[in-house]
Amino acid sequence: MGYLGQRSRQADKGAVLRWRSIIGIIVLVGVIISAAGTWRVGFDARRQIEAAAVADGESSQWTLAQAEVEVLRLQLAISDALNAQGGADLAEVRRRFDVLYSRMNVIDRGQVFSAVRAIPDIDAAIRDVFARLDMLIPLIDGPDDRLLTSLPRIDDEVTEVAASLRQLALGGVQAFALQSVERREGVATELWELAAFAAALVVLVLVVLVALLVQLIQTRRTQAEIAAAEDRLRAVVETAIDAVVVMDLTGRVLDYNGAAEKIFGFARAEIMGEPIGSLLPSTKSAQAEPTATRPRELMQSLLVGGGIVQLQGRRRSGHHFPVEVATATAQSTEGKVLVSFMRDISDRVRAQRDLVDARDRALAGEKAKSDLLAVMSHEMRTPINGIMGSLDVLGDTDLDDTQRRFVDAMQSSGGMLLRHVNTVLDISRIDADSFEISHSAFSPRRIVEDVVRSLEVQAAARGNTLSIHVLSPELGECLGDAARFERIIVNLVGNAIKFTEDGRISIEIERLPDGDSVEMRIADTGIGIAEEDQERVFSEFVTLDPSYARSVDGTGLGLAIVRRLVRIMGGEIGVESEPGEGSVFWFRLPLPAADGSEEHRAARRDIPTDVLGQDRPPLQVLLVEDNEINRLVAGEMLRGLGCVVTEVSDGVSALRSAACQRFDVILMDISMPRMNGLDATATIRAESAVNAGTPIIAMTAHAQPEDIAYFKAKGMADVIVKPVSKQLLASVLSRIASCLKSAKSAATSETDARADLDATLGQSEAARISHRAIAEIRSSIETLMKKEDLSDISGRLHHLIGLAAVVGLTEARTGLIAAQTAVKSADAAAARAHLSCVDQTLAEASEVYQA
Amino acid sequence: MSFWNYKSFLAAVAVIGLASGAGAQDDGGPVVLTVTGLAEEHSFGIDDLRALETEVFSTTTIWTSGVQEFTGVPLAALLEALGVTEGEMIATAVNDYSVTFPVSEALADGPVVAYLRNGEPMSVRDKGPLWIVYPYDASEDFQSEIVHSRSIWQLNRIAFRAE
Repeated sequence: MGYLGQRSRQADKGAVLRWRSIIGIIVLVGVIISAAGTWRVGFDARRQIEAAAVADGESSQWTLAQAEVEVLRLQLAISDALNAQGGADLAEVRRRFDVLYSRMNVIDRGQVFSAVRAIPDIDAAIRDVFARLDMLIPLIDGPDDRLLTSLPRIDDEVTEVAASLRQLALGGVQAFALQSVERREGVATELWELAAFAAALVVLVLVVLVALLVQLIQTRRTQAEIAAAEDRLRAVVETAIDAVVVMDLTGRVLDYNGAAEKIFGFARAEIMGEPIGSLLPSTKSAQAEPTATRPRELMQSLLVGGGIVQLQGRRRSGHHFPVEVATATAQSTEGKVLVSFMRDISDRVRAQRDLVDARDRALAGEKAKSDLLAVMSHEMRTPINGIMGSLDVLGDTDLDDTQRRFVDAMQSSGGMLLRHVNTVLDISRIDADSFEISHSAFSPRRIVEDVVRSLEVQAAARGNTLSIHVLSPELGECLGDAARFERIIVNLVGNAIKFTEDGRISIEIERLPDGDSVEMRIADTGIGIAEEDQERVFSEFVTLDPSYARSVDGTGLGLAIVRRLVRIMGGEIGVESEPGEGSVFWFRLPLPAADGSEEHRAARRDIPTDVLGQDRPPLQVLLVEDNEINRLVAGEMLRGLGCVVTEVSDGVSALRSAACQRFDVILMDISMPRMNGLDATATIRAESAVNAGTPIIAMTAHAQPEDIAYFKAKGMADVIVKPVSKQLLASVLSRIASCLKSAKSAATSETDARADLDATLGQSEAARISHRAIAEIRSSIETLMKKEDLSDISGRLHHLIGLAAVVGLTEARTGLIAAQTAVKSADAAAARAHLSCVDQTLAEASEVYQA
Repeated sequence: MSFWNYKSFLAAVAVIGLASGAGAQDDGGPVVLTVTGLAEEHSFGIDDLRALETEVFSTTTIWTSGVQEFTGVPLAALLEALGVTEGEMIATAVNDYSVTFPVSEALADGPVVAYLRNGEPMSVRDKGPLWIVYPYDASEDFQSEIVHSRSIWQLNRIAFRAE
């Protein structure tokens, strides 16, 4: 795999290259200098040697010696001439003189002798010689006889000349010796320099050689490393489980490992040089060219998303399978290549699919179970409702002690049964995430007090005393979910009672310094909880006394629910306990102080049953309920509250009743056969002449907040959740009643306004105008109430408001304004309630006026 | 005695005297160079030499100061005129200084038998009448000891012999 065997060492290369090139340049310069120096010095040396070879010194020595010889010869010639008896050889004398003179000329003029002449003594000698010789020239060149006679004198002079010449010769010897030495030294120096340069050259050459050698070794080593790396890489690629395919930018396969052969089924020989489209069909170009995919397309399809893509792979058999391809670019000797690791992920894809299926099935199963629970519990509530209701009514009748005891027992059991069912419903609801926390204002202290009161009997039965300690006296109303809070308290206090015998149970309430949280502590002196069980108690279905002979009973769900509730409400819960000494269950909830707005008042328990008051006619109530028992119960409750009740058992009958008689309020069960409560309501609103404006209250077991909202949107004035209780009925009805009550007081305040109008218009005219106004407003209200959608009646109401104001119908005006506000805040039910109120008011007012 | 005998005797003496006294003039001036060792003896005067090839060059020498202009006959031309092509040449000077060198080297370019220095004839005192000079400045080859030793001045005899 040549392509994959190369390693890029760009960073290393750069530094080493720089270093090397600097050294290289230095060596090169050194070599050039040495070579030049060598040549130059060699040249000089040669010259020096040649200069030495000229050896002027030697011939100069000879010249000086020869001069002495020649002066001796002259002396000899003169001596011969002097001693000859007639026939003296004067020609010889002359000749010898000339020879000497010419020799002296050489000494005087020749540049070789310049060094010698430079010595002052020598120069003086030469001058002396010439002086003498020049003096003799006239005699020598003169006639023979004169020459003959002058010979003795000439002889003397020549003797002197000889002496000077001797000096000259000796001086010359020294001078030339010195010169020789200098020259020798010069040559030696030159030779040394030459040797040095040559040595330098040799050294540098050696250095270069060594460098080359080192380079060679390095290269060898690098080659070995590369070969080893290649082998390693080859091993890695070959033993890889994934297919490794190398392709060029056009998709031609350049390399292909063993795993690829196994995965794709193509042998290496078959696929080499083929386009990658044979293995990955989706990378084929649109024109399905056999060889080239355009590089950009190929790269795009493989390198997108960080280089990991899931594609279809194709086996030799033609079978397609999912493959995960991880691609990267690499640089090879022939340019850019793409290296892809391909993994057959058929298994993974299948496993994923199976997992998803299993999960879906499991979820479906869970949902089915949850739904089952919900439906079952829901169904169970209805009969329980019946029982509880009946017991309620029964409890109000005259009973003797035995009977009352039985009724109490039944109520207690029924209550417990209801609580269990509610528990299960809650659990299933919590699981299904369909749990909503409401935020209303309530008094925690009040709720605790109520709970304690209701559990006092149970506590006393086991010899326990209950006490409440409010440690933060400023703790007033808080915003939170009152029902859930009550649930928690009931559960915890109930538990405390269950697990304590002849002990003390104290409940502490405290607002924490952070201002937002409230902490509750329920402490008992009961049997306590062992440390290893303290975490377990909050788990589902864990009671710490699962033996058959249980001293306490329970499903074990209580604490689990409590913990879930606390957590959902954003709080914490925990327990501290010592076995044998007791336990403290504590929890903290975020319960910010309520700012006292009256709009969110939760339903309160201690509503006086007789809220309707005695100073008014009884409410006419239409009760629509298909279930006989529920109808019976509800009917009795209503009568107990002082209403006149008409009972019908289905929607159709309800329509019939609503058509002829006007009711103050209609209680409509939602789930009825043939015609359900919503449809009936809609029909009454649309078609009933007398009851179009009557508040209709839904009765239903569907207690979800969204259900309640839905019903209200559909025209229900309010919703009562079954099982219906007397208190609930009472509170709802009292609201209606107060509306009606205000109608009465409206009439009184209106008489003052009426007086004004009389004064302005005159009594009869005022009365006529008022009548017309009332009629118009009432007919308008009737028309409006028939409408399905009340969102756009604000303008019409405005007109009516004005009208009411003009004729002094103050109470009606207030009601109309309230209705308008309700319409603006999309509270259709409230609007309808207000409008029907206004209608009622006006009905009575017109009677008054007519009277 | 007869008149005719007396005159021929005088003429013969004159010829002999002239010949022996003044050398074989032949109208070349006084003999300055005697060549021996060949088939017959030759004598040359300045004019004889002038009649042969002439070469002029300027050079410095180690025995003089300043550039000198030498005029003379190339030694090769002289040897050619003598018909000598091989053997050894022995040049001897007035003061009996003598140097021997092969004819082959004498035939080479370079040595000139100069009779004028700076346009003037040279007296014996002046290292004349004949001086074998080389164009020393022209080449390093002419600055060797051997060449210097062959630069014989006061040349008056040349002898040839076989090697």
